[in-house]
Amino acid sequence: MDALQTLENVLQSLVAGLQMGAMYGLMCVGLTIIFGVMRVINFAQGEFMMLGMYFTYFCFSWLGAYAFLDGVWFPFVLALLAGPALFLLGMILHRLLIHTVTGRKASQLEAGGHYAQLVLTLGIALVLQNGGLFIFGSTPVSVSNELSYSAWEWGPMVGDRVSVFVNQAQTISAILALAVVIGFGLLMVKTRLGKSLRAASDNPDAATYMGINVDRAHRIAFGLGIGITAIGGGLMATNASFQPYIGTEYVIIMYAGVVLGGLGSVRGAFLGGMIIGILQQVSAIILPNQLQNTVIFVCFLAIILLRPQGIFGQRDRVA
Amino acid sequence: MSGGTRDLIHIGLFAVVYMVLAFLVSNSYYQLIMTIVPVWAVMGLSWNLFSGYSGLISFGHAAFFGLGAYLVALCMIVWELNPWITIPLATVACGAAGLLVGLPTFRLRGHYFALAMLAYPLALLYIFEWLGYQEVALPRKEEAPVLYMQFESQVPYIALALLLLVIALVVTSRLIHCRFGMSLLAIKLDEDAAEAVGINTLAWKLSAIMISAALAGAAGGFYAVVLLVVTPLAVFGMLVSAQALIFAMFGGVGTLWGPVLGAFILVPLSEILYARYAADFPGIQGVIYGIAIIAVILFAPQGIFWKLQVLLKPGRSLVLGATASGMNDRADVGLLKVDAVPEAGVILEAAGLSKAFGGLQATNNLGFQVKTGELLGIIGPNGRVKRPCSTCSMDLYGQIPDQSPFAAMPSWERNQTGSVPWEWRVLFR
Repeated sequence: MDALQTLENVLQSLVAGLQMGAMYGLMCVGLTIIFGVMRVINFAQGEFMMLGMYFTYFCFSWLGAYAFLDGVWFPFVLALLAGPALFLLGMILHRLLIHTVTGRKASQLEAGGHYAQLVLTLGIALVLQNGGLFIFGSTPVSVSNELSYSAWEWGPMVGDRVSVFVNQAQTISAILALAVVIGFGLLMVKTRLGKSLRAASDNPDAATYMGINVDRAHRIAFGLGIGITAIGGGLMATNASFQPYIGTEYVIIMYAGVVLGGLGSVRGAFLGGMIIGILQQVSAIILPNQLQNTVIFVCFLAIILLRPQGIFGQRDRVA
Repeated sequence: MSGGTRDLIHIGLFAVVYMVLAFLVSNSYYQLIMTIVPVWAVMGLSWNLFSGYSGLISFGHAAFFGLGAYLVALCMIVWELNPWITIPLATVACGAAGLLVGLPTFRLRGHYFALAMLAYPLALLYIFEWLGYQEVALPRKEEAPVLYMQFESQVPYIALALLLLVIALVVTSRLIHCRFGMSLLAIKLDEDAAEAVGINTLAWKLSAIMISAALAGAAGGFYAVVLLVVTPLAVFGMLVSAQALIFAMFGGVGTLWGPVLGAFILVPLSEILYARYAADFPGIQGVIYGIAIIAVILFAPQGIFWKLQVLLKPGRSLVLGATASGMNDRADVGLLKVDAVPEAGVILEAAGLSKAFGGLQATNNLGFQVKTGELLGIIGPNGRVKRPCSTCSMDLYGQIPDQSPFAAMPSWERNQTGSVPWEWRVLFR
């Protein structure tokens, strides 16, 4: 009896973990593009995710009133649209602010621009977070519809005792997240743009000699990174409530995932996010709720101290 | 007069002026600000002493601040210990915490170190919430107010805050003028090189983080005494670490007065605006801090201390101990131009390129011309001319006039000019 109950809990958490993990994975991919190509630690990534959430929310409240847009699929479409919208914002921000401390400009700054980059993105994070508080208000909101509250029942099995409920909105979000990651992977491997991004990441100097505009590659990478994380945020918004301060919570989750997979590796980042999602959900079975995030931080510290190159990274990437 | 003595005189003058001001101000709100500002200045100094001099960026100073605050608060509640004992205790305990954090974390460098430091305060935040310390209020001690640092007037608080700041300033000043400061700067410039010349980098980094953490712990402990309420978010939150870093960066990293300057400008500014506009604009403090640091990065990346120095003493050139301006890739002097309409087929012309690394003159007055259809190679020992000269020519790509023959070339052909050779050294190894 108890064993079956435990089995049900574990299965339920695994399913939830896979769903959350796919979305975390998507966000981690966004973060890792920026680090991989630009070698910049972006502290504002959580805030851009928050903007993606609010983009979905506001578009939904403004456009959702029209009858022909009133489908259950509509929030998911909006979540995907948050990508291009934030991509543009990212390109503009890079042009105005970020490029002054990264790329070729970085070599002129103290400590290779590390200080300047960390502080600039921290400043952007503070402005977005607190400006968001002013513009969006502090009341938690969400973009939920009937799918968020409906679930497929998997089972009953093991003699009618165990059945697992699979939330529909989360499942759709997870599938979309996976699709976006695969799409991005193809972009990186197959297209000329992807090649130029990878070249700019491997060796900016050599890429310049080969005729690649590294500054433009950085701009696109920054836009892409932010856009992809924003899609993750939008998908998350369909089944969780949020407020302007939510970014700080997620930025650690993202970094944990990215470091777990090895900084700068796209596949690693997705799997890292996946593992963090599963770990978070499964730890909820045995630990009190407040310690769920501590598990993530402790695991993050453990990875970074024991295997800083991540599970899928190579040794030479460290330092 | 040595730098150390001059600092002591400045610190003394500063303390006297501040105390006089404290007696002149009667508005209790401004008095509270005058108490808080030195606490944050100490946090800025604490961050600066470690990160500013060693170049290892810490996003986790909130861990020490929070531990100090909770230690003082909980000792008072559980064992009725007074802050006169517990603040020094918090200082020592946080120094030990610094050692505990440093030992494993110093295996990392650069980005990894910064990321790892981020996790400590956040993990502690959730642990303290879980332990049930969501809001710890310090009990009122009517029977012995002075013993428990609970004064009627705000002036003693200001005096204590100032004392803390003076101690932090003296400690910083003493340390940066001796071997300690020099070793940390060496680590900041090049850790491997520092190790190679016989600096025990781990030992210096550990002592730096211990002293820095001790200062942060003292600031946290005193903060608890002043505000009387400790919450996990207020002492372990991201904003605490961010503020320590922001004040140091805003004022000037690697300087004695920079963090103090930063705190003295930003804390009152944000507090007063917060008091006035909080109802309409709840996040105004964060927005101000954010804009302040973005502006500093864009317009005065070394911090306003140096900016002021340049403005006040225009004759003195800006020499940053840590930047070592000669170490970058660019040529110091020289002219490189791309002709819009080539005269006699000359498309790229360089004249008077010179480069010195400190006292070592690597290249002196190099000049060359490249004609259309010509191949020009530059040969020389590594680290002499090729890189400075080609870095310059890379800069030019952005400015090539449309009529130039360069513009018509595909960019990989443009690159054949002067840029590739130093990569060849790999082949010759």
